[in-house]
Amino acid sequence: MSEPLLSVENLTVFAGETKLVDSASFTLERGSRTGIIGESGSGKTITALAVMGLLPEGLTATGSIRLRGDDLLEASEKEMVIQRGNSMSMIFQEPMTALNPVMRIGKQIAEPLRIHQDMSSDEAKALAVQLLDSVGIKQPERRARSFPHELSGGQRQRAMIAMSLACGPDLVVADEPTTALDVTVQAQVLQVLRDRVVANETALVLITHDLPVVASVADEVIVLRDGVIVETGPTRQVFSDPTDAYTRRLVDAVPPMSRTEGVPPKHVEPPTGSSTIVEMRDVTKVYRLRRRHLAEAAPLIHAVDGVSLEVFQGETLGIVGESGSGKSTLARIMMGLEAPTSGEVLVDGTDLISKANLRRVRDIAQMVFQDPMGSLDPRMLVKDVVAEPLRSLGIEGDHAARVDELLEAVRLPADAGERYPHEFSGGQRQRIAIARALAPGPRLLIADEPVSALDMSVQTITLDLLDSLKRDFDFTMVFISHDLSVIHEISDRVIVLEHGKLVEQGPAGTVFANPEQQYTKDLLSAIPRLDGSFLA
Amino acid sequence: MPLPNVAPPQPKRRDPGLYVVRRLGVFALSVFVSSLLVFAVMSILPGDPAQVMLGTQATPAAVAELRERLGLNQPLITQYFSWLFSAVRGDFGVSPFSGQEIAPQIIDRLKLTIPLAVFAMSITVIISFPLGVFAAARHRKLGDAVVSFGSQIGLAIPAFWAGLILVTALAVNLRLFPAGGFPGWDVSLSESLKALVLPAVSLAIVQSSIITRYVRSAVLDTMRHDYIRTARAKGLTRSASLWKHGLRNAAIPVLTILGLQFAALLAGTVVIESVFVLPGLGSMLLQGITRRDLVLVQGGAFTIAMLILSINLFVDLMYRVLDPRVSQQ
Amino acid sequence: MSTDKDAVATPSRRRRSRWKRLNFILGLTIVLIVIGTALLSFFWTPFDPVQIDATAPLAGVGEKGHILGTDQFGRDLFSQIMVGSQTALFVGILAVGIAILVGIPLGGLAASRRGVIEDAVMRTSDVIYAFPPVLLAILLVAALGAGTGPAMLAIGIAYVPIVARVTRGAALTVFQLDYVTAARSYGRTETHIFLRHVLPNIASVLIVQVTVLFALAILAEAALSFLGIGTQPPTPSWGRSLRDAQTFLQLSPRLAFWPGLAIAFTVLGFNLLGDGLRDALDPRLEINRS
Repeated sequence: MSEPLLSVENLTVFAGETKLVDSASFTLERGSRTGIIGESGSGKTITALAVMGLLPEGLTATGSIRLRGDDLLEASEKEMVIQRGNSMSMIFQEPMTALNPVMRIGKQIAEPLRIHQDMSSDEAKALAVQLLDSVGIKQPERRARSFPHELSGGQRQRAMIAMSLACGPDLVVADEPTTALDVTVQAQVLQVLRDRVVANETALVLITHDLPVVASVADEVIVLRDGVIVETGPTRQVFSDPTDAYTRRLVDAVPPMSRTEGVPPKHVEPPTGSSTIVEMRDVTKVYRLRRRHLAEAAPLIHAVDGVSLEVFQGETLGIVGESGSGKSTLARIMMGLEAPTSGEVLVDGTDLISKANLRRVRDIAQMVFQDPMGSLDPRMLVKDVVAEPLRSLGIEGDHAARVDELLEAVRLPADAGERYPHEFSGGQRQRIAIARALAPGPRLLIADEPVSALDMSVQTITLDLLDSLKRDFDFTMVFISHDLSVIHEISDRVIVLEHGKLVEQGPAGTVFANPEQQYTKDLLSAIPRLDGSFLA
Repeated sequence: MPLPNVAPPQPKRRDPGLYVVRRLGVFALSVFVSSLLVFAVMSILPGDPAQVMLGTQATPAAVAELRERLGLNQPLITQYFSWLFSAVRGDFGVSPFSGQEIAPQIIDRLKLTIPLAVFAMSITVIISFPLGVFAAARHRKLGDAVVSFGSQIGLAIPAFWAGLILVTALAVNLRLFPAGGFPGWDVSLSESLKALVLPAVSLAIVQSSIITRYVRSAVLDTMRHDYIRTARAKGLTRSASLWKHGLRNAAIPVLTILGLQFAALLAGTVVIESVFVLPGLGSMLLQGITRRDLVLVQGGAFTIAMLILSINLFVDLMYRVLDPRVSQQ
Repeated sequence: MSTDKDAVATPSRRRRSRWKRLNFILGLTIVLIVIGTALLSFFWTPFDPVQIDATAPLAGVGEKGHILGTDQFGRDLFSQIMVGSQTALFVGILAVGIAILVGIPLGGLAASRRGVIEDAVMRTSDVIYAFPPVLLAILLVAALGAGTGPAMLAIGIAYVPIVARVTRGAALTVFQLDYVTAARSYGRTETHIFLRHVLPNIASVLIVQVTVLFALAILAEAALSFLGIGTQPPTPSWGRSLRDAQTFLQLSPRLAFWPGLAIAFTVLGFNLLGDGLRDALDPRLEINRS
């Protein structure tokens, strides 16, 4: 075999004394597609930035990175500038912030062409329009004149792909390119990304925490843990038969739905016929935006649009939808944090319209939020955080004992109460938030994306914990997520939302196995699978 | 309450006219409220304005006569609106002391104050933009430290003290510039400009320290953004990504600060005019206070407030030109 | 989602902290010296600062035991500067006090209520913004007569919008966080949430702002006294001394030098302290240190 395209040897990245990446070695062939996977803090992004020569200030790299024989670590900044955007380029996670907000899309895509291929402004702009067209953006001329904020998230990421491929590079590094996107959009963007690199014969490095995403795009996979490569090999082989214990843990953490085509059977009998704890009748929530034109009325957004539903005592109801589906607004309305524009909400038979009744809801329902950083007051000790609802709701009794009991129930160390939230990991913080929600003994727990910010292996642990707590503490759960696999795992019954409307509902097993609505089918077919049976 | 995470409606260019109309409405409202404020301070605070103006030894007859002349016997509301309607037409009344119209005096004084402020602002921009960008480019190196510490010193120096020192050094000792006074634009343009050099420099010392710090941090802030990394990943050099992508973004916050600081500069001229004995709006106000000419003070103060509000209006409108994201709520 | 950014931020920040700590120590030292001087001047000054000595007008540096010489009335300049620190700090404390007492509740209200109340608070702030301390002072003095009181009031009112704006800005971020929503969901009132959850978490921002405002207030008081509409004689004030010195600029430029230096020194101290505090109190850093 000829010389590899990229060969990394003994790459070590230091932050002061700490090694963020430790003696990593791997090679990439021309036109190959390789996934680098690892959880947060594994050093996967740092590895990519080291290849690009874009390490943040204060980080130093040793070892060697050879692109077609040229050592990039030895190269001067002047030589690197010639390589970047030309023979290798990068796609970032958050296309909104990665694009210059005050420069038109077309000009941004044309920029590498003007730098590296000495094109005139008009030539480059014309080519930029073609590139936009090639990544499936409709009305490319118009879009080229748009600013980033005028595009949707998916369009922005397509534009990033177009930009990265502008000069026909040998290597494209994509860092979590679809993490910020909805699942249906993710499927389209992954498809475009793969098709384009194949068509251009460009080698792709895909960095992600998401194993099924890697499986659907990459042939080879590198597993990173704490800066060390623990396993490499062909994707199918590594995922079906991992040799390293850590890789096995990652693979085991993938929810059943994301493993293979088709839906694993689920035999839970939802407790139908039992009494309801929440009833919503024709609930609508309308937000009024600012007027845009003198002649036109203020635009309205129907965040929730005529939704009627029941939550039965003792069940776990999963509510699934993409961004903008109104699922979080629905949760806030259920919680009495927001008043519906019209419709009726009954929690345990009490009408939420009257303010006096809100107090009763507080005794019945509690909530868990998505962001484990933002959901705990950083200036309060954990025991005070957990005891807060008890004090607020004026619940009598031995608060200290109750706090200890709860912290033990969520499997936190005994001394956790005396520490501050920032001393805990994301998963632990989320368990503190769960303990707080359970403190007043709610009969209804509303969990809004409670595991979305967590690493995959921590997700599994947290889901298991919630499930067992539900039995021990005997509450009904409304579980909201954008992630169908998670919803599939935890729910007895499922509701699918799209643009504020209830599209489909039914027992989890039925809805996932035999969806009736096209939208539900689209959602299901957009899930990347670990066996790679996903993209066309 | 924050809006939920709702997909943006199909992007459509906003009508810029609507924003301008809305912003002009806010401006009109601000002018109205500030007129209320000026009027309230002068009329509602304890004491009979006529008595205040004439002093304690004035005869009751004289006070009564002045009250009549100023219309103080009418209800407060009537007084206010007749003052406001005259003021927005540019008529600030007649000074009870000199018997002269106030508005022409104000215009005359502005012919010094506004050029002085513009002069000082120009010096400020010329000094602070390059320095701020330089410091940001040399972040955490010696150049940055020197600029940062220097600006810290500049911030601490009162402008009028700088004026006094400059007068001592360059006017009294070296006789390079006049120590004070103003010949008038129609008498001698060059001498008039020369008379404004030291006052403008005194004002610019503090202002350029402030602006340098803002430019530096705005540039540093922009350089931390992801799109700068994207630019470098495209093959732009560090400095090219700063010039092509960073500066336009950094200009947006800097512009806001420039507007606010221009307002501070206008206020600063009041003090500096006193150091250099310049016949500007500030010294007119101070004269008004010594003579207890409330009508004059009212007119002068309202003029300054309106100038500052107009600058803010201008900055807000410029903002729209620079930032395509428009105020997304 | 899963980024390695936390790990990246550490080393460079540590280096910056060391540099900032120098600022902090220098600033704190200066501020302590000024406070110490003010306290000391209550009990002891080399000469009686208001004692007129007809035998030694405009004495030079060191003459007849006057460390910095005397003014046109033969009053000891050094003693005047010492006592002047009392005025500077006094005005600073009261003016900033007014700004905080009015500005923080207003800013908090705007952040928690949004909508019409927020608009009203912020638009009013904008209008007051159009009246810099000097302008407000001129208005107040015209109506009330010159003095430390109107000057202080003017400075305080002029800084209310600054405090309100900073409070609102910082509080808005915190009000969006889930622990606030959680507190609402277990029935805490908005006032309780602002006092218990929001205020402690924006305190660092406010402390830094207050330090900087203190410096600005001292500058403003000096300017007003220089114009003759602030502190009135015989109370010693740095700005007032400079006003008097202006008449004798040719005879004795030294008189214009030392009081100005005292102002610059004090303002520099508070600014450096604010800069240092900004780094020391940055809550984001606390998270990273773990």
